[in-house]
Amino acid sequence: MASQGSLTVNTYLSGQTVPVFGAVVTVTKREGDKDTLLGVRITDVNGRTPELLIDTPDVDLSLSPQDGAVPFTSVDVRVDHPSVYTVITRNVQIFPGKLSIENVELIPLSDDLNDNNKEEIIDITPQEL
Amino acid sequence: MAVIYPTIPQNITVHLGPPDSDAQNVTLPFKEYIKNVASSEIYPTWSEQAIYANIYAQLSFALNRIYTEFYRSQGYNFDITSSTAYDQKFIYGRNIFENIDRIVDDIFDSYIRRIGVIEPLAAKYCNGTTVTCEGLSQWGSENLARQGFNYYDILTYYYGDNIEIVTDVPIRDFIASYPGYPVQRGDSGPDVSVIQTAINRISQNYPAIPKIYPVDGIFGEETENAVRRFQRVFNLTEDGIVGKATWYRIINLYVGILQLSELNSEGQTFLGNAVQYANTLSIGDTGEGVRVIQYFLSVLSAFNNFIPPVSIDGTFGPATENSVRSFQLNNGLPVTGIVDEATWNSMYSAVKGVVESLGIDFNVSLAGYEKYPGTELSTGSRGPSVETLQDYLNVIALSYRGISFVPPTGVYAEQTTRSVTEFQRRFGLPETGVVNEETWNSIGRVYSDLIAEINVKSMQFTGNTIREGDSDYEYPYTNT
Repeated sequence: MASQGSLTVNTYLSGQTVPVFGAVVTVTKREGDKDTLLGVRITDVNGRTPELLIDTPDVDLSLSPQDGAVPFTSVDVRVDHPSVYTVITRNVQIFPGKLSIENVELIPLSDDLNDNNKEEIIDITPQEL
Repeated sequence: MAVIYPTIPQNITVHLGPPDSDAQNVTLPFKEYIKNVASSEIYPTWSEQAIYANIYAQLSFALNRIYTEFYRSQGYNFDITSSTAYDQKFIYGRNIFENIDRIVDDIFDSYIRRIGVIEPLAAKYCNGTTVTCEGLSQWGSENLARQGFNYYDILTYYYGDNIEIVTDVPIRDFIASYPGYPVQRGDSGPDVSVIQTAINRISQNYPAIPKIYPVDGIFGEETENAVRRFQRVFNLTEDGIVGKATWYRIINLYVGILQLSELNSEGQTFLGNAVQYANTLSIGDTGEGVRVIQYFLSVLSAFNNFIPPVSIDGTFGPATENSVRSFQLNNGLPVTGIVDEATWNSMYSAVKGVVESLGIDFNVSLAGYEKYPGTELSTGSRGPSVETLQDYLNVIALSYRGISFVPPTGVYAEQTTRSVTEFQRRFGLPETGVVNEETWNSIGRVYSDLIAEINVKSMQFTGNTIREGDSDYEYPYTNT
């Protein structure tokens, strides 16, 4: 049976004091030049999405040093909401049997309309193991 | 000579590159920093004992940097870097693994030290394959764990026998410390009142968490259900028991929400009249114009970890300049530390965006520091002003032991009279038990100072713990 991990995305303003309700969370996986859509979720009143199950490599790959084989699945998480700057987090790591929690801190849009297409992009690089 | 013992900071400032690089600094809660480092350095699928050992080393390394002021003493304005050539791997905004999240919640207030030495161990570590070092081997620790070594055995294996682990380290400037025992059903007393008060305020922003009425200091079924719901929302073990992890999450969130309300109410002062750019401001300037930009920076810093908070004191000093530079760097403006018209307008737009969206788009209840309601409050009074008064008294009660909690019923009865009298006694006002304008303003100022101090002081190395008898200010205030 294939291994799976899971992902939940939480969206907030101001260090978790204000949950963002109704943010659109798009989870994709890049394979070559293609992006495969894994799921689209809307955050609830607590700013959270339900858990998304994602296929992963076998756990053995993370239990000893590997030459090139990557022990986790990388997915991209995009968060959109009309009142905040879009945040894209690339290469979120999903490990077999583990829950990944992606807490996304969102920043309200400035009043300056010229500014509002600015996207924040975060790229997660692998562990140096 | 007094010895200074290490404490756990509330926040840590991380430079996102090698020390001399032009990178931004980000400030975030210490616990979140460690969760990030642990998730960035090792794999979550490793044995639990290996994970514990690695996190103790990461904690100690970070606390050593902070305690020895390694970077700050060299003139840098950050505590640590995210560069693995110098410090530990940290990626702002990365995902955290749930098992690592739980372990850090458990041990974040601990560190390793050499026996007989005060400072946290500058615990070196490396992967053990492509890099070897004197210190913990990350792959080696996983191997040892699989052979049955526990975390302590692993740590002594790599660091020697003359180490010990210090636990329950005090948290700097924390408004309400964990009582040291898990608070649960059947318990009663002030610790339960704190939990009930805080959860009620949090539930205004998180409507899925039920309110607890009455706030009676008795941990019954209603309180337990609210705690469980809180735990579910915040990815904590859902057991209905307020242990260390749950306690700190509740209090941190409560304080954060109050600080936000405070900023919003100050906005009525700073944003109410037509505020506009008057003249360029820079280090050394003083006055109302400086207060305005300090207010802007305070709001922006509450919503953006790349902008450090500042005191709204009307003096443009190094902290204000640092915050201006951070704002400019974050917004693609020339990094001058000088607030010219372009910088001012950019700040103002950003702040207006925040303040407007809070009220309109987000479910945020804003009960700020209000003006005196115009009539005295006393036994029999009821309504929103009384609720506000009770909120303020409860925050003050968190820090001042001689002041009792008040159930936030909105009705001014015996307990409110008692707490008001205790406040008046403590702050040298006539002990009438009645809230006239002078008492209202005193209560409001103490409340807002507590909230403001927590925010800024947690940035400084030698912060003062807020404890009865300590004061940075002359109380009571004279009315201006």
